[in-house]
Amino acid sequence: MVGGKGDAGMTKRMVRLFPLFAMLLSFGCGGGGSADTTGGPAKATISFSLISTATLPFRISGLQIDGTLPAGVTVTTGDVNFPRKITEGLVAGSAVGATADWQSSVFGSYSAPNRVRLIIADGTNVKPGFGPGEMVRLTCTVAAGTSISESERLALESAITFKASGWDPTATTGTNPKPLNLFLSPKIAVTFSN
Amino acid sequence: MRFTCKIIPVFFVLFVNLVLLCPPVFATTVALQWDSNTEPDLVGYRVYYQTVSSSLTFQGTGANEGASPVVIGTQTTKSISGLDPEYAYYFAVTAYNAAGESDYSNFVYIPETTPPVITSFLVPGSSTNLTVPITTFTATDKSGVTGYLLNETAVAPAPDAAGWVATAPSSYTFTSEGNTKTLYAWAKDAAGNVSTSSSAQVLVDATPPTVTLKPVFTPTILTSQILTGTVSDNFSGASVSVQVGAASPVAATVNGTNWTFDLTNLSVGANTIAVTAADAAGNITTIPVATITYYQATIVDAQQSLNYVLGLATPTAEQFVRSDVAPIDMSTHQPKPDGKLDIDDVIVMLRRAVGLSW
Repeated sequence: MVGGKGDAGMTKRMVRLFPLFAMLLSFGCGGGGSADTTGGPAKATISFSLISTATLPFRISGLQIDGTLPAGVTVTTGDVNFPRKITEGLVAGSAVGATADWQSSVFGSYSAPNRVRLIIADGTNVKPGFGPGEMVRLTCTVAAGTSISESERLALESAITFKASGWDPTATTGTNPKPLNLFLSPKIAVTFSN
Repeated sequence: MRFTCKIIPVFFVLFVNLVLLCPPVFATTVALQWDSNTEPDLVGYRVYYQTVSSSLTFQGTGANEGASPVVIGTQTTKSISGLDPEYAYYFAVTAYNAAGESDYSNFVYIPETTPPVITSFLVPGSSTNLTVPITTFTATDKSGVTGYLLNETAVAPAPDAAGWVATAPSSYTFTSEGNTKTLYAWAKDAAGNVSTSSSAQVLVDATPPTVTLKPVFTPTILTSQILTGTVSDNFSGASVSVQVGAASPVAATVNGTNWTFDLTNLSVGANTIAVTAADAAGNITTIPVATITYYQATIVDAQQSLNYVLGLATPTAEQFVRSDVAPIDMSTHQPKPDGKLDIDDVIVMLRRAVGLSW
């Protein structure tokens, strides 16, 4: 769980993500609330988006996502220095800018049991943050024979949180960065491939 | 021979007897009278006068009647005029005939009545010690200054009061501190004439000011921060200066009992911060030197912050402090560490790493 940084209100605003893993499994099996990859290992690309529910007062400077992958869904790790770092399948979404530069500002980690944390941060001095839209894409491996029940999907969904923050360029008092969760709603899209 | 004198001021004539109760008033003419000599061969009298000293023989000069002695006939009165009232005079009379001159009569002493004049009295405007040095204390009197006195009252001291000293004092010790202490200087002459006073005001403040420095932000990835603290003084208020490293001290802004200093251009590494307060009297207080360690945030720092937030690495206590930079207080442009590392710290660190300011 990502806590609101020094802000109890922020903590309360941690948004439960759309049931991405349920969608993932639904796409994989064609519906029915569960996935079945008995045909062998497959790839699933999870697209995480933030949809604005109101005009953002300023742009997003960084985003932190925490969640748990379903059993049988894995990511590739194995950095020499940081074994739990996600090393493949993690790219910036279209709203962030899927360029080589932007890819470098998207990072992820994996920890047992199946916990993932993703971070997207504004890493340039030429583009002051980013707007709503697709934030990140994570391509996972779905093990053969993986399935998940609806209750499991709901449990996974409720465990996902995010924290979006932005730098208010007009602020002369108060603090920066400021939370933006209040203006954003998450959305998950999943595509399968072999 | 009996001998009396009359002192004739500008507008007054006074008669006194031989025991000489001549009042010490301003006088330029003295009328003398003596008992006549009854010897038949008396030719006349000689009136002697002299200033300052009663040592014989009287050899005064300056009287309108001529230099001492003034020779007259057998009359038993004589006025001596043109005298200088700033001097004391001694008078005596002799009788003479063809064979010679008698002994001196008794002396008549006319004291001088002009008090000394203090020509210069200077003290420092302030002192950090109860004992204040006297810069200058001089007085003049034609017949000589015989006493000097310093006190804190405007009432003229008696010539026989305690505290008179023969030479001008080089210092004066107050019994207490004060913002505007007034010191009075007095001088007297041998006749007991006391001068009018000359005064000077002095700030006597032996208590140094107190000054504090609120905790600084260190280590920091910012080249500037606002230093604040408090300062107070018992009398005059105090100024505060801040010295960074070996640079010259720079005055801070003092507002009441608070001071602020906009610290800028910190050098990479340790920066020593010396804060000094000085009051109007010159008392100085220096508090222990603070050190602000500035390091330039780089992409490596940002990457480390990412690793910490992602849980890929565990920061040491020092690394944690260095990485916990969010949020930034926009009124002071300083980090307000909240004891957690998360996306906000990454945002701040990345902004610094790519050269963005607050």
